Amino acid sequence: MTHSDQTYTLNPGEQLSGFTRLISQERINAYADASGDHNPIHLDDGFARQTRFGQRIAHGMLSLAFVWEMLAINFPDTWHKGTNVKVRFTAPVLPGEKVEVGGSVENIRTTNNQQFLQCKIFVNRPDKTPALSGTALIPINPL
Amino acid sequence: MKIDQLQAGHQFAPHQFVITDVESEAYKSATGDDANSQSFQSDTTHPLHADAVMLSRLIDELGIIEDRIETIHAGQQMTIHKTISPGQTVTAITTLKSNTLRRGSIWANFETTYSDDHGNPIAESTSTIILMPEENNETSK
Repeated sequence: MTHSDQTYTLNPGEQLSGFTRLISQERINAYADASGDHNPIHLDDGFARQTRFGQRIAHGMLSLAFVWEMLAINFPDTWHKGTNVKVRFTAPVLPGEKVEVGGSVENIRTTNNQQFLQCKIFVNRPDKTPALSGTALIPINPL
Repeated sequence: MKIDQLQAGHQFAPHQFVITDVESEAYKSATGDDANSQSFQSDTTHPLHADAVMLSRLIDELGIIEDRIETIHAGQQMTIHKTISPGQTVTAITTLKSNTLRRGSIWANFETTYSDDHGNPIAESTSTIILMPEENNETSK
């Protein structure tokens, strides 16, 4: 697909280049320190055991960070020029799980005279249930 | 400051912060791996770093950690207009957009705008957080 001076290798229906990533408790601890989010549901096993999840869970923002990384890999010139990401966190990711980060191009949409690639995005748990799902709008030829 | 005492439209005091080189690399390390370590250049922070910092500050400010309130992060939206460099000052202003009680849980929706030294927009985000009822949280104080 070619749009004026920029060529895109992705067309509607095609998959984004994704990756898998292990969510170890060590990674969760490191993320808590790096983000400043020390919510005990992520860090304190005694607290977490008495929540609805029954054990510690990873930060939702950690999974979302993977999505932004995937977008930066797929759209290195435009991810920071008006890209919008909207997600729902639909299931917890547990320590020790390896998640799959991916997405696909759905269509091209125009908003306020700006064209966007509309992509479905997801982070799936090992059993393929989505931990996160949503939509990314990546501008085509942004100013 | 407790969430149930705040009305929709409440604007929190602005936060100014700087993500240092060390902090930026720590965030990229915590979220990345060796194979994708070059996904972001060293002069650019991870796109979600500032929003993660601000969300952490917000839940601290609301006493959620101190009171050990069980929370669920239900949703997140973000639009990025430009990158943030390590060492750059970021100003974040958060507004409580809605604050509703549903089946004993508080559903809070926060909107945050990020701008640079010159007031130019960097990003906007929206966070939806559910605070579970304290009587269901045996570990709350």
